[in-house]
Amino acid sequence: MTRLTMHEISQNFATRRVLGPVSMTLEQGEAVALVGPSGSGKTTLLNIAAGLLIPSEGVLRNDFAKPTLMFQQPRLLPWKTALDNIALGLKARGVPGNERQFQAQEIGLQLGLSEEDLLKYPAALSGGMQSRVALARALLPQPDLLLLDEAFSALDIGLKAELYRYLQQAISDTGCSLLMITHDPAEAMRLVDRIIVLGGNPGHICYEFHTGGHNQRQQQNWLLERTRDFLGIAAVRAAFHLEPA
Amino acid sequence: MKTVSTLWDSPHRIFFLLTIIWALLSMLLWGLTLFLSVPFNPPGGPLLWHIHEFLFALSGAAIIGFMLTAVPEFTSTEPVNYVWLKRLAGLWLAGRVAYITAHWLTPAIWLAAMADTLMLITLLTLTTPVLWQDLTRKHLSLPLALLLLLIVNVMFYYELPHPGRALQSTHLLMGTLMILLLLALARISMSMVNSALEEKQAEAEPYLARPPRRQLAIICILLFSVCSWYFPAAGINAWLALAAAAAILNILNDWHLGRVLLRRWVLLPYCTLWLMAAGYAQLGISGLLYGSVSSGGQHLLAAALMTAIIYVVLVAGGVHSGWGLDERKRVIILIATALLLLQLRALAPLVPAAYYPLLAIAAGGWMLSWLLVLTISWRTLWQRPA
Amino acid sequence: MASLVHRATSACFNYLWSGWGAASSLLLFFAAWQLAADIFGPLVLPQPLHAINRLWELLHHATPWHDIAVTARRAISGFVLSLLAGSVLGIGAGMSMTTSMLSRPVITVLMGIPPVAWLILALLWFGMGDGTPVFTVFIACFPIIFLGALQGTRTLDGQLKEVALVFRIPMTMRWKDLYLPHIFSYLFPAWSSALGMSWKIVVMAELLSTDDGIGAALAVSRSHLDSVTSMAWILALISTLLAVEYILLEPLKRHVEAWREIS
Repeated sequence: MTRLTMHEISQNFATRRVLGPVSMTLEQGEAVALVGPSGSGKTTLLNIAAGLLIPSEGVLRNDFAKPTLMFQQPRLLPWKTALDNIALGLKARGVPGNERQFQAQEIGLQLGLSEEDLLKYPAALSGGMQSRVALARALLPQPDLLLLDEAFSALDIGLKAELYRYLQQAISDTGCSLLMITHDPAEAMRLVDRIIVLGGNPGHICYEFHTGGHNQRQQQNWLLERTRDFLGIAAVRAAFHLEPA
Repeated sequence: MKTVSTLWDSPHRIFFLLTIIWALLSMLLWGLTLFLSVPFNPPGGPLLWHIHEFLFALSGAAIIGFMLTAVPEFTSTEPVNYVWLKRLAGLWLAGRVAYITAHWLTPAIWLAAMADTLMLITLLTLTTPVLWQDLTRKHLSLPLALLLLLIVNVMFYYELPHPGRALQSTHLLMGTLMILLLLALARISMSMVNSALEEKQAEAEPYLARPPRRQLAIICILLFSVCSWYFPAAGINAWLALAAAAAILNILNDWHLGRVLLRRWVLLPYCTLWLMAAGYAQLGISGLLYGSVSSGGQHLLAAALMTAIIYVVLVAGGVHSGWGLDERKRVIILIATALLLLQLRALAPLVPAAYYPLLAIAAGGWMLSWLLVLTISWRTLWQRPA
Repeated sequence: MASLVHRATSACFNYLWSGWGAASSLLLFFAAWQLAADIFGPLVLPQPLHAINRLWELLHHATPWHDIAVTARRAISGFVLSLLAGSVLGIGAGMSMTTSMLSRPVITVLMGIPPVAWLILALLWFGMGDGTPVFTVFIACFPIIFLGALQGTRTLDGQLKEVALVFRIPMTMRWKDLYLPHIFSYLFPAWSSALGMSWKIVVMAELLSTDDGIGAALAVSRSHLDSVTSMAWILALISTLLAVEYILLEPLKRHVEAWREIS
């Protein structure tokens, strides 16, 4: 069974411990969100999962063969066109030029970029367009684990909704697992099965919340209700330093 | 009675009409003197009269028409009262009549000087405050150039007793008019070229008359004019003229937007800039090769000036009287032919054997162009559209 | 495709046409030169037209072309050597904090030594001949290029490296697609200023150390008090420099840095 396992993971920067110990598992096809106040070590945990950081202590086992990450900023290569940026992951895998351009164009068009936009350099694209390119770049290599680091936090609500829809579609089509950081409980409720609340300093897991309701996630009422339930939990409120309900 | 009131209802009508009529009359008089040796000797001689009246008087009427029409449009203010139009036209006319009268009655030249000066002062007081109140103040270069014209013109009359020095001051006159031409052309062409572009295709790049390129050209022209006035024999003049030619060609970069250049109302101002560049290049090259300034280059500049005036008369006259632009094909072909004939004047010094015949053909081209402009503009200047 | 060709040719035409602006400013410079020549007299400063005429005459003989070729050979060899060494060593030094700390003061020292001092040393080490000018050009250009490469490499940010890790980009592609384009935006200005410098320094070195090349020709014309020929040679130098700048470097820069322009 493919899964990501973290056992008693902790992270120190110089002499200061910022995270842990934390233990968690992410099963194949599962979608998990990390929420928590700033400084609770969410990004550190995500970077460990992505292999960008080697944990100071603990054991990490990652069976996923093709994880990709979408960063908080689009982080496009400014000297490459949108199309070449999207195709970056395929190029790294040695897919020949024509083939990867074709695929990149296909996914770019699906994500609402015009052929003209695809030929532009990132500097000529708006912030929303850049996010579309970044999402296309993360999805094109058909990852089995997609990591999102507050990737949508700077977008307007219309664009967010559009990209959520596309993301949900892509996940259900490919059975890819999802681990995402977000500040927005409603966003988490909509996209994931399980919400892990990090809190404290150094950060540790304060609460785990199972969203349930697979078929109701599109419904506004259900989302509001579950979000209210979630924010009513004492451990969650404590993690965010909110006064008790 | 009705036609007269139409003529005074907006500034471009009367002043463009004066421009056209004066172009025909002054060439007639000059032709009589040049070819038929009819005695005509105002103070300073007939040549200075020819230069001054073709440059200052002709452009003066066109400039008043342009300024009084354009300034209210730029600043969204009320046009001036028709009483002022009558006063300005009177002063302009007084200047022309007085200069000719000076042939018989020398002191009349002072009257011409005073009328011209008063005319420009009136124009400046009518337009400068309005342009100053405009918050962007982006049109102040126009009254500044007019002020320069005023000074240069006074200088011309002052130097008239010394024809050699007066001739030098006409270099300044020409330079000032070239600067005014660039300033006015940039403003008219901006709307003309862009509407032509829009007609053709929607997604084309817009035309922008970029100030830095124009300013470089203006600086070069100013340097050349001042130097060739103050040190007529200096070697520096040739280089400055070449620099001016290059700077004008540099302006053309703004214009290279594809096939839209071939549209008539785009091609005409574009050719004007080419004529200007050719004129300065000719002045520069002849200065380098022979160490002297030939009149061929000055005539190319004058041709540029005339093309620009015709353009302004046809475009502003058509648009502002409500008749719209004249899109008849033969109109533009005839004007282009006439303008080409006019270029023979600039070539004439190169062919001494055919000097006078070439001059005569060029003069014919001049008369033909302006007669055409008169027939085209007759309706638009005298009548309102139904 | 046809529209692409059309766009490329019209861009090329517009680039060439914008040269009139440069021409205008150069002609103004010639005017100032003419003015100075008129004031100080032909012995001190010949007229621009005379210098141009002399250059024209010079170019109709074989020897000047030989001199130009010799000078170009020396300048280019010195420049290419410093380009290779400076770029490679600069990138190498930039990859580690320690080596960049070590190399910075040394580079400051190298930059502080005037080219003439290098020339004296080179004369002692290499004597008369190609070695001296080539070495002087090399040593004068090297620190500029080294510094450009060092700064480019130092400013590679962690974000770019994380992108490379996340998408598992192989090492050669990492350099080719991620690191080098970034470093290049620092290297390129260094290369172009070094190229201009190499051209000036080679002439200075030749003036004192060789008996052929443009520098030597200048030395001869100076000893004959022939200011017209001297100016003609200087004109030749400047025009090659301008040609390299506007025909080679500027279009190249526009091409490789097209991504910087916000269209």
